[in-house]
Amino acid sequence: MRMSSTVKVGPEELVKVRVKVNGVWYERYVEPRKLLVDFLREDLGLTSVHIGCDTGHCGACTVIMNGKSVKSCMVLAVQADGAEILTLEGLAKDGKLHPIQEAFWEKHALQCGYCTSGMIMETYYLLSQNPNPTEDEIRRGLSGNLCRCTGYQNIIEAVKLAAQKLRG
Amino acid sequence: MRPPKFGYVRVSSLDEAVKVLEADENAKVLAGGQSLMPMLKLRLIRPSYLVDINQVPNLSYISIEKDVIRFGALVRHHDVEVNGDLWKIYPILPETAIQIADPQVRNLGTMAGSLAHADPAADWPAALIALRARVRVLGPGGEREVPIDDFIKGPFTTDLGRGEVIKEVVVPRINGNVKSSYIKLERKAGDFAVVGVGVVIKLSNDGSIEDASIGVTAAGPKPFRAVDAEKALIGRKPTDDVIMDAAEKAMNMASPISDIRGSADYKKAMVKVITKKAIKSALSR
Repeated sequence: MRMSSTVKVGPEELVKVRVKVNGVWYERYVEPRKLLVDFLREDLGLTSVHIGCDTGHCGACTVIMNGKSVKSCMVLAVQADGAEILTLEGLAKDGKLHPIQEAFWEKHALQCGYCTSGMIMETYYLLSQNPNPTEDEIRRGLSGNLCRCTGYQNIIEAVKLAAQKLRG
Repeated sequence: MRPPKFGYVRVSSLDEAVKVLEADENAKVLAGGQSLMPMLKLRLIRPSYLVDINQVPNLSYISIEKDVIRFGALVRHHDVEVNGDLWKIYPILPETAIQIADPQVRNLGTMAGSLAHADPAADWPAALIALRARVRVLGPGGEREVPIDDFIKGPFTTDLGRGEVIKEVVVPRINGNVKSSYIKLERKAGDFAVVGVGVVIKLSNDGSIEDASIGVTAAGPKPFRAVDAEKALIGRKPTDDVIMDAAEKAMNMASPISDIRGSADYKKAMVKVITKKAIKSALSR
């Protein structure tokens, strides 16, 4: 959906934002400076979207916006007006985990779990672009996501398994 | 971390953006926002308004024409990275794109935005200097083109005047046996360059270098053209000695500062190493 009409609001005013998140349209009024990560967590209650570094380095806040992965702490909520967003909450269907989630579980690709939702969303994006990545491509693909526990080995294994599951 | 308060304007054309920026010199353009957001959060800038150009139609083009390649103001790094034609014509372009930050940042960040931000360690300027690119600017007085060498004036400082925005980046095409490469030295995946060097070389039929163009980033207050290194290559066959001589001349033009990415001496030495690698990488294509 394209929003071509001009919008102008002052610093103290609120802007109307309409976004489709995990298949549902929401309409909210936000401050221009509100970050997408805060919008998803505070206004929509989607707390899988984690705030890690809040400076665009760690990738814990990764979500899919119009088919592309973004760090939601580096995007304003107003920029998402009209966009379709997918968060981790939108992956499981009818109580069944998404194949990427299953793969992370089976390969024990997490310890504390803080980075996991971001890792899974970036994996979702990577596999949407490249269904059969090499290990090098997986490492490059996840280079924007930091994990401080696992040493990454099991995450790489999980992505390989997820790719296999998704290829069927 | 929260950005400071600012107003928000979403425009539907660049002309409209120019009007807002002309009327309010504290307003700032929002394109990909991947440099702007950290600047806002760190409160390094406090714009009155952000002028969001993301909904302006027809600004995401990579237009490959007979004489030039045009990159619209909203071309994301990722768009360059996945463009198969560019890999064939000028591999230096996607090769630069793919080394910027990480996939998420590349999905939003724009080439034009990176130039307007003018971080002295940014990747694009080295490649675009090597390609002798021009920046097409739209302002209250109409359009003008500025060579990339003159567009970036210093750290975070450009030639953009009041009310001006980047409309597109224009890369001239060269006929003949043209080879190009961008090599970046980085401490870790996704970091800014310790040193980055872009090289474009045109070979003549006898295998000598007919023309050479070299851009260096992160080795001075602004990215620069290694003119002395270019001269050392032009008209010669690219032997190891000639390449070493050129790399040394690039090093001698560098004036890096010591910071967390290394001492000035180290970076200077690395300009030589990376220039040599970039020349060899281009020639190997």
